[in-house]
Amino acid sequence: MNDSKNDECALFRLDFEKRRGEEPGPDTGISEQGKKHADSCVACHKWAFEMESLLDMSAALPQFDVPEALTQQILAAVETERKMPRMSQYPLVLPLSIIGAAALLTVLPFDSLEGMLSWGIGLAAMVLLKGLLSGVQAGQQAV
Amino acid sequence: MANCETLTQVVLRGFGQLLASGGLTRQDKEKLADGQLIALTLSGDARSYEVLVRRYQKLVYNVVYQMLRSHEAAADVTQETFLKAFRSLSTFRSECAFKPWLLRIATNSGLNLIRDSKSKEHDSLESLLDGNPACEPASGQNVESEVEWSLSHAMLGEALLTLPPRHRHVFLLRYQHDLSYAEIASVVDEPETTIKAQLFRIREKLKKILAERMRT
Repeated sequence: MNDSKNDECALFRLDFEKRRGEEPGPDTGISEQGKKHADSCVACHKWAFEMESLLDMSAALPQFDVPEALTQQILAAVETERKMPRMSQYPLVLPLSIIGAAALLTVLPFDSLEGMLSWGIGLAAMVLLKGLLSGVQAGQQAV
Repeated sequence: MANCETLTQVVLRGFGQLLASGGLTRQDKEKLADGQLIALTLSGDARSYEVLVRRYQKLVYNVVYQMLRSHEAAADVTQETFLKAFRSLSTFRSECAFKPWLLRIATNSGLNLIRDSKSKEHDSLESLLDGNPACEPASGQNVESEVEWSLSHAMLGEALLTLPPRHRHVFLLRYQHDLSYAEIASVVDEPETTIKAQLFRIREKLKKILAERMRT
């Protein structure tokens, strides 16, 4: 007798779990069989009531509206991000600058006028590269 | 990845939609699905992203607020979430749902902030829960016990605060924001079975905490 009662309780709670635990959306209510069981079983009635209260209250917890100022702030930040130059837009700049600078610094010797000129151009290329990288970094930090 | 659309396909589709959309108003765009808005955004239509921001900002803000319990931090993380999402939009797989993807970014940003600053609870729970009437008993049977279980929201809020942040997050995603197990699994990057088991334990734990508080 006790075993059968326990089975009914287990089934009732399982049914409840399926109904309130798994699928989001409107509550479909307790089945007729479940109602019958809950009417005759004080423990299950109490258990279901407590669980319903808990879940109903959780669903009814207040939610805050987002102030329009925050929305505008988000949209402004996104717009800045959209307009910001990205290294990915200039995929060849970085490798070409490195190769160019390295070539100019290594190919020609420093003891001739051409060599010194090539070193000057190489250093200028590195400064340009540094400026480009820090510009992108500053843009990212601004956002 | 076989069933995934490539980025090129998404952008081309977006271009097509952009050309077809011509003078779509914001009201028209509000009726579009997330995937269509993303495609339009990727093809350069910034207004489409605004519709996505307006569609999900309240959800993101409230989910993050429940994690951080600070309006200031929630506002910062909400903004960060939409920016990160915008930057990563090109990596978004169009067959996936946008909502859990966005909430995952929000969750990770929130958790990072907690980790970084050991965020303190700035706002009292009472302010969150003001003006919410207690729950009425569901039926007339066993009235005494049911009256005992007419829990106030404040009590539930206090009980929620005793949970680890991750558990509170999972519980509220399911029961406050009505996400499915699959969506929650995607947000917190855990298997669905783990979420089910976790939610079962969290519910029982909360019920126990509330019962104890009722007794005292």
